Amino acid sequence: MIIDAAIQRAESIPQEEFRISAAEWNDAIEVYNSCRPVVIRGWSGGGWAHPWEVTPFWSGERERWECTIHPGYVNGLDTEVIVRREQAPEETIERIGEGETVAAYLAELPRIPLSALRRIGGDAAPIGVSGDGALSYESAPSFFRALGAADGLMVDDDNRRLLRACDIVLTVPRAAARAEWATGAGIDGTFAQFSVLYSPEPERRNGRISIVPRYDPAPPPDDAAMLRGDIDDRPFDQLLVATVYLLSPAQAESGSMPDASWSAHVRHGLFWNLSHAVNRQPFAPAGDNLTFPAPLAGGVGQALINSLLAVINDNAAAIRAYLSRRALTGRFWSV
Amino acid sequence: MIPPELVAKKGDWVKSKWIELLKWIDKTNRVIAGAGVRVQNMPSGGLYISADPSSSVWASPFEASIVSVGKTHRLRVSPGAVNGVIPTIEGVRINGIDDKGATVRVPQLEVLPPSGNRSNVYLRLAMGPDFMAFDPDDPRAATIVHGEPIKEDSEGGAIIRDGAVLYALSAIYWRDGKVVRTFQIVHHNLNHRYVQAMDGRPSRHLFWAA
Repeated sequence: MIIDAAIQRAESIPQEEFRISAAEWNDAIEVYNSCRPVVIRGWSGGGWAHPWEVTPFWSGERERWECTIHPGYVNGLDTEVIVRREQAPEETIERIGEGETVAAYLAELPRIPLSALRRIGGDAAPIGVSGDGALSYESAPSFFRALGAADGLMVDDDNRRLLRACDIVLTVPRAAARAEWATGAGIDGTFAQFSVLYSPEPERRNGRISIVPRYDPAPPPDDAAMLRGDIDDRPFDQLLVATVYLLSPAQAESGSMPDASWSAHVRHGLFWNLSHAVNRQPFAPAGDNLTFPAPLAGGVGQALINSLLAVINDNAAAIRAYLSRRALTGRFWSV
Repeated sequence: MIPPELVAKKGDWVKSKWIELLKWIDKTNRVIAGAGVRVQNMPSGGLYISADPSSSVWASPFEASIVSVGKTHRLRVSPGAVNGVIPTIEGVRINGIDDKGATVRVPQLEVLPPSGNRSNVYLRLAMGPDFMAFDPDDPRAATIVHGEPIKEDSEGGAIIRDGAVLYALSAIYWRDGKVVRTFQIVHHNLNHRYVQAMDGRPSRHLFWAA
């Protein structure tokens, strides 16, 4: 009503004679200030959220993008995430007490900062170089290309948008296997011994969430690494929970980082709670190893001698068979 | 709260105030999306605001709910099956249907707050003498129980206790003797199978979504 009255008055006065009174000015600001939207919230209304459901939002208070994750469970245990103490939920502080950083349970509904972001398309850094020297870039998903995110190098387009992303990863600890060569002197000459050792069962059994710019699953060890004894198994298994994408408004400045004007999108990779187990008991009985009369570990030179190749191949096959019976593999399944 | 530098006084120059006002609008007139809302600036101007009300409802098997009256807490679990068998609470199937197919009162289990801030609702399978399977015809073989979380000896989530296998169905969080929230762990009917030890692989009780 105040605005309408001000407009009517303005229209009734010739342009040259128009003046704004201080009172009208202040009234206009008052109206604007009372009407401007600050935060729009979605109200779930008690709807169902699946486990691991990620909800990103802009925190005006902390001026950064954060997310909450609907609690997910592995083996029925609370999943945790490391947060700074001053930003941890009250329940976490009560449960843990001291510490600069604390492991909050997802069930305590911590707000997790989305700070480890990678750039995709547009102003992104290259992720590789081909043989002919051409740079390669992570391509933007088609959904974002349709919205104006550049794919590859930035193009000078008035409608171009920038894209940032981060991956949310679930890590579950487990025992790990390690291959080991030992050489020594026997009665009838030198020998090499190949064995698999296991790290102790982890003290922490809870799954843990982390935010990383890019999740790269570890490749399985190759045959050559196995023969060298380089199968340092990682003492955990990982799964991609979700990828959070942040899309800029049109004409965003190259290199700018997400603020409240960006929009968030989530691609989920996990929808159900999980069970997790390893395939075998991480226990190596004494004397459970392979012994070779020839020094295979130092046998690179021998490999050049044709007469010994067959022996080496036999030994390699024996090692593969041995490893296949002793390697630890973690498995997830949904419940 | 209006910044004092924007408030005009009689005799102020309009131009300087106008610039201050524009700066203020530029700084403050932003729509910020809260959780569950997406805001997109459209190329033609204007905002596209979408809210995801997450209105879908999932009627999960084995969904636990607790009704508290004073200091009495009663647990109820929605129907679910393990190997096609409906577990019981105090001898009554949790779907409220007896052996003759008649509808009976849906059973509830009185529970006590845990010593910590979390308790679990468990599916308990009492194993037969060979410890490999439960008797599907015994109404006391597959039951719903409530207790403290057990971290030790869990293999794929299955816990062996007193000749039975426990599997957590729901997590209940408490504070000062009151339930503050409940989260579901199992969202499906379950299959159970005992896998014998062989070739370095341990014997196991496996549960998985049916």
